[in-house]
Amino acid sequence: MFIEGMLENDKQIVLDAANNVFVGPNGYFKIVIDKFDGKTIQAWHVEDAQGNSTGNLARRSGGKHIDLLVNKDCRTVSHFLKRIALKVIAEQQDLLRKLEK
Amino acid sequence: MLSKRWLASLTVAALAAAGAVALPAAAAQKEADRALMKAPAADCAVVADFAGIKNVTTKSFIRKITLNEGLVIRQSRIEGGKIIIPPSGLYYSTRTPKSGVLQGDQVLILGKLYHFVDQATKLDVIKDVWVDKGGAAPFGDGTKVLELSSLQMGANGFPVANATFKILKQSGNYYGVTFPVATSELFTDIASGALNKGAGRETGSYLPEQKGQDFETEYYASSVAVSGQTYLTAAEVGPKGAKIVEFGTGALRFMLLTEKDPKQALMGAGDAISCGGFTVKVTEVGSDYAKVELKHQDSGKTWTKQLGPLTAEVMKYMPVDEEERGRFILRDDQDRAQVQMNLYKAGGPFKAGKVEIALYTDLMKLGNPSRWAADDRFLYRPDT
Repeated sequence: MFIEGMLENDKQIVLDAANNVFVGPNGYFKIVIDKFDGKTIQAWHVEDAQGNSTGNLARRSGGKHIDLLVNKDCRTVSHFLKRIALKVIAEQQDLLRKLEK
Repeated sequence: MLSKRWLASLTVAALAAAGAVALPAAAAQKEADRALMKAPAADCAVVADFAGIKNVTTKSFIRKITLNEGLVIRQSRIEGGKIIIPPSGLYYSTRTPKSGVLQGDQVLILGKLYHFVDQATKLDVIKDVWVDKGGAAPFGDGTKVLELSSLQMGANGFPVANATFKILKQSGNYYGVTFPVATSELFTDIASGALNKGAGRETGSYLPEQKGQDFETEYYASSVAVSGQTYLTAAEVGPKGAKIVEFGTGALRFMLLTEKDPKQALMGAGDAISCGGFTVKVTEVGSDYAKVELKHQDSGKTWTKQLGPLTAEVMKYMPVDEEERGRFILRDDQDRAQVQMNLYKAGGPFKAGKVEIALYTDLMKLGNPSRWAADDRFLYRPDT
């Protein structure tokens, strides 16, 4: 039975303000660093091959790393997501409260 | 808890044993630096839905299934003014609900559907291993571990150790079932069969002072935990760790996929179909078997086989029984094409003296792990 497969980067990926794009396998997606001062990532996003783009993903980590989970319907992702779901819900409510003010 | 100590001990031989399409030595020796078995940081970015990472519903011969893609980054960091993602720190995930071969299931990779043609498996076993509280024991090629995830004292209200093992996979996820075990003279070990016919009580409610009703000292545990093919037998569970007698679990060695649709036909003796540079000819159809000849058109090389016989006995563990499945499959010597008796076609494979045959060609063999041929910056690795 097959349940899950991964395509993973063989070599270390190094990004900075100048070399700011990593293209995923077969060009399926891109990781784009939009603003980085060498210490903190102020803005970054993911793009797909059709040009769709996520918003800025820097908020949760405070710009300290670019760890990422995409697609709640993928069980690989949702298993990780469940570990932090309550925290994420609380953060979202906090953000909504701030927006409503 | 998961040190690089044992990852560093991985050998090329161990990786070669892991799959038919093993990586070259130079690549294999870098395994110690990989972010395998790690989870993304708790404060990772979360994107619930994104157009480019898809969910696709397909229909096989026997069912409808939804296939999901995912994207994960783990262990990324800032170092020396650069953003670093370690090897295996970024992965694209393709997830299926237990796809099987022979039944027309498909696998989604980077937005494309591939026919799931065949697979080969192995069983990894470790014996007589002590695992410290909070520790883990590697098995197989060392890219998965059996983790002693919790060792609780007093879970039942008195100070006896209860262990829960989990299988930590390359993706950083755990296998979906946990393995709780305990051993103590204060427990009745149900692996002895103590509860096989129940505890002997009738329907009702009981009080401690009733004669023979010492249920407040009647606690059960098991020294054995199972999930399908996976089994774990504990010799001892104590406050400092647990001794495993034996643990076994399955893994994939390789899988065969193709993007090209198969040529399928109901064929009688003498009929032939061609596809992808191969021709398959049916030379005989019996009541429960068929003889076929596969020919590579360019080289003229041929392979012949009797597919079947098809009996109720061989179908018991199909399609997962690799050896029995092999009776219904013929491949060329380079695994470029596969002829199969279409066992799961509606109405069964035999109809009016003819047999349902499928010819899959342009096969892609993906090992555990192997390089992704379309973009060699990436490795393919099953997380099963």
